[in-house]
Amino acid sequence: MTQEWIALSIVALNLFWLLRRFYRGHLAEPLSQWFLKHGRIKWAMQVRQHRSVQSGCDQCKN
Amino acid sequence: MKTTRLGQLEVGQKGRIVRVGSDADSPDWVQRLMALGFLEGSVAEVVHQAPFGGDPVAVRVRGTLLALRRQEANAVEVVQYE
Amino acid sequence: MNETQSLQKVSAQKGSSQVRAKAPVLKTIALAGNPNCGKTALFNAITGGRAKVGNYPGVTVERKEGRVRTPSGVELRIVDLPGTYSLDAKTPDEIITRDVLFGVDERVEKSPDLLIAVADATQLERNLGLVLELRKLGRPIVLALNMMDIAEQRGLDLDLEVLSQELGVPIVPTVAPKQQGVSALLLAVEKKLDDEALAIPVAIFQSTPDEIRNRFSEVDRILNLATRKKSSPTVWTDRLDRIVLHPVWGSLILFCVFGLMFQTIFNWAEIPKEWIESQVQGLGQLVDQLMAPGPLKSLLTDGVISGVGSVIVFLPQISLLFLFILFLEDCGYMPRAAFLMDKWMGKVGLHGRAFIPLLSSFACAVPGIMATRTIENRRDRLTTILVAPLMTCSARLPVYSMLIAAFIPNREVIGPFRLQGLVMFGLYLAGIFAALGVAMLLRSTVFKGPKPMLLMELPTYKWPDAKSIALGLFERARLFVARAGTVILSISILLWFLSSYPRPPQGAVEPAISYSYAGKIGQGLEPLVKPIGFNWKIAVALIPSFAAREVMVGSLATVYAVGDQKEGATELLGDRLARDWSLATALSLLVWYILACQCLSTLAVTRRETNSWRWPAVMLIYMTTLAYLGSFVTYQLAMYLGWG
Repeated sequence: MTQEWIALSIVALNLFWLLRRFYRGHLAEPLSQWFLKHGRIKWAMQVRQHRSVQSGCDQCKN
Repeated sequence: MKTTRLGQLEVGQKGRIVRVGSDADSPDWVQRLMALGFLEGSVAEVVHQAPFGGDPVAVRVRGTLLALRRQEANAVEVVQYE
Repeated sequence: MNETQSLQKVSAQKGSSQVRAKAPVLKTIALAGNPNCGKTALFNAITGGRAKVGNYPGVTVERKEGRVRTPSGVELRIVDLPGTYSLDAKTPDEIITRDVLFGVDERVEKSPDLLIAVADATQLERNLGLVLELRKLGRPIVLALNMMDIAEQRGLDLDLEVLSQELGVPIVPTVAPKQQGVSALLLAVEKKLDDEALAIPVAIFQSTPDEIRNRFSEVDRILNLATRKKSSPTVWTDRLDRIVLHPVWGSLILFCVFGLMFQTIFNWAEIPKEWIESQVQGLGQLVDQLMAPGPLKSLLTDGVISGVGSVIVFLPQISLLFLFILFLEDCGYMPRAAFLMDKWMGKVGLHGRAFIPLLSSFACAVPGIMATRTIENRRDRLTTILVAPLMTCSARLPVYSMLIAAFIPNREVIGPFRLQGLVMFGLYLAGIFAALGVAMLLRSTVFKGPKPMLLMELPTYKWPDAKSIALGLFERARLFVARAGTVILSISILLWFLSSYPRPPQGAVEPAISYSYAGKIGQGLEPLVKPIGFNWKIAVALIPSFAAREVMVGSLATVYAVGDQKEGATELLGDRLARDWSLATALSLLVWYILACQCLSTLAVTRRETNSWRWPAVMLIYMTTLAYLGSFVTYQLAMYLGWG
C-alpha cells in the first residue's frame, strides 16, 4: 500500500501544480479584468498579482 | 523629356525620380514611399524581378533594396536614363 | 538603492499604473532605429540578454526591456522599440514606437529620458532620416552608428566629428555582434544624462511631404560634409540575389532549401535520436529491475518514463529544425522567400509581408501572430492571424516524425530524397496550402477588401553570427526540455492516474484499462471518432493535446503503456502503434494534426492581439471542423484504397 500512497500523493500534488499554472497563466488576467468591470477593485488588484506573464508558447523567444 | 513610371522599367534600368505619387494615389501611401527614400531627384534602379510574371520587383533607392509590386511602383514617375 | 528597490516592487505590483517617484528613480533609455539596423543585437550587447536577432523586417514586434549598469555603476532601464522607418507610423508596431517616443503610450511607465538612435552605417542615406526626426522630439539623444565594421570594409570613411557637429548629437561607432563600442556608448549616455538636467517638452508633430523632402535634403547635406570617402555599393548581395531570385534557379533553391531541411531532420537526427531512445529504454529497464511491481513503479515506467521519454527523443530533430530556421532568418534569406512567394500570396489576397509572420509560425504560431503587428490593414491582419496556426509549427514535429517513422517505409525516391523526408515535406506543404486556401476563402467572403500592398525591404545578406545562433539554439533546446519536464510530465502523471483508476473489479475479463476513468471517457468518445478512424485510446490522448499538441506523443505512450498488461515491457511507442493501428488511421491522425487547433497559447495570444474572445473562438471552431472533415475524407479514402 505504501507504493500506492506515494503514487497518489504525487498525482495529487501534480494536479494542484497543473491547475495553479493554468490559473496563473491564463485565468488570472481575464479574471482580474472581470473584477474591474464589476467594480471589485480590491479583488482585481489581488488577482492581478497572481498573473504570471508568459509570452504564451514555451517554444518561442519573446 | 519623356517620363515613364517606375513600374514600367525593366531589370537593369534606372530612372531619376521626378514626381512621387499622382492624384489617384492615397497620400498615406505616397508619404510612406517618400519616407523610405523615394524622393524627387533620387535615383531608382530596378535590380530584380520575381519569376513567373516579373512582379513584384526589387528596386534600389538611396542605398536600400525594396520589394514592391509594379503597380505600386507606378506611383513613382521617373526620367529614364542609361 | 533601497528606495529604488521598493519603488520597483511597487511598480511591479501595480502593473502598468503610473508610479510617482520622489527620489532618484531609474532612468529609462529607449533604443530607436530603422528595421534591420542591428538594434536588437545592440540591445543584447548592452543588456547581455539573449533576445532573438533576425535579419528581416518586423522581428522585434514587442518592446523588450532590460537593465544595464554603466561603467560608473549607475543602473539604467533600457527598452528596445520596434524598428520604424519614420515617425509617421502606419503599422501597429510602428505606432507603438511612435507613441512611446511621443510619450503617449500608457504601457510605458514613463516616457524615455534618453534615446539611443541606432543607425546602420552602411545605409546612412536612409537611416539618418529617422535620426533627424528623433532630433526634433527634443529628447536627449546619443547616436550609435552600428555595423561600422561592414561599412569600413566597404570603404566608407566618415568624419565622425563633423557628423556629430552637424547633427548636434554625440556619436559612438558600434559593432553590435562583437560587442564593440558598448562601453563607449554607455559612457556617452551617462554624460548626456548628466548634462541635460531638465526634460524639454516634447514636440509632437505630423509629417508632410514637404517636410520629408526637407528632411532628406538635410540628410544629404550633412552626409556630403561628413563623408570623406563613400562606400562602394553592395556587390555580393546583388550577385547572390541574381541567383536566388532567378526565375528558374530561385524557385528551385526555395524548394531545395526547405526540402533538404526536412530530409536532414530525419537523417542527421537519427543517431542522436537513437542514442536518447536507448537511454530512455535503459532507464525504464533499470526501474523495472529495481522496483517491486506496484502503482508507484507503474507511475514511473508507464507514466513518467514513457510519457516524457517519448517526447524527449525528439530533441535532436527540433534542434535541427530551429538551427535551419535561425540560420535562414539571420542571413537574410526570408524576405527573398517572401518575394518569390508574393505572387501566390497575392492570388489568395494576402499581404506579401504576411509571409514573414507565417514563416515565423514554422517554429511557433505565437510569435508569428505577434509579428502580424507589421500589417496595417485590419482585415489582412486578421486573416493572417487566423491562418497562422495552420502553418506547421515545431510542436507537430514529434507527432509527424513518430508516425512517419512507424508507418512510412524509408524508400529512396530521387537522389538524396527518401520517402520519409518527402512525406514530412508534404505535410508541411499541406499546412501551407491549407493556410493559403483558408486565406483565400476568408478574403473572398468575410474579409473582402482590396489587394494589400507589398512594400518590403530586402536587407543585405550577412554571414549569420555563429554565437547568436548557438545561443538561440541552446535557448530553444532548453525550453523544449523544460516543457517536457513540466507540462508534459504533469499531463503524463495525470493521464496515468486516469488510466489506472478505478481498478477493475474481481474477475474482470477485459483489459484493466477499460474500467478506468480514461477508459470510460474513451469509450464514450469512441463513436464520435470512429468515422475518422481513431480508436478510443487516441480519443483519450487527444483531450490533453487540445491544450498543447506535442503532448500527444507522451499521452499515447502513457495510455498504451498502461493498457499493455505485460509488465516490464519497454517497447518504443512507434513500434507499438505500428502493431495496433492501420495505415488509414495513421494517415487520418496526420491530417488531423495538420489542421486541428491544439494550442492554448495560440488561442490566448489571439485573444490578446485582437482584444476579443470572438476570434479565438472562430479559430477553434473552424479549425476543428476542418480537421474533422479532413480526417474523415482521408480515412474513408484510405479504407477504400485498402489501407485499413
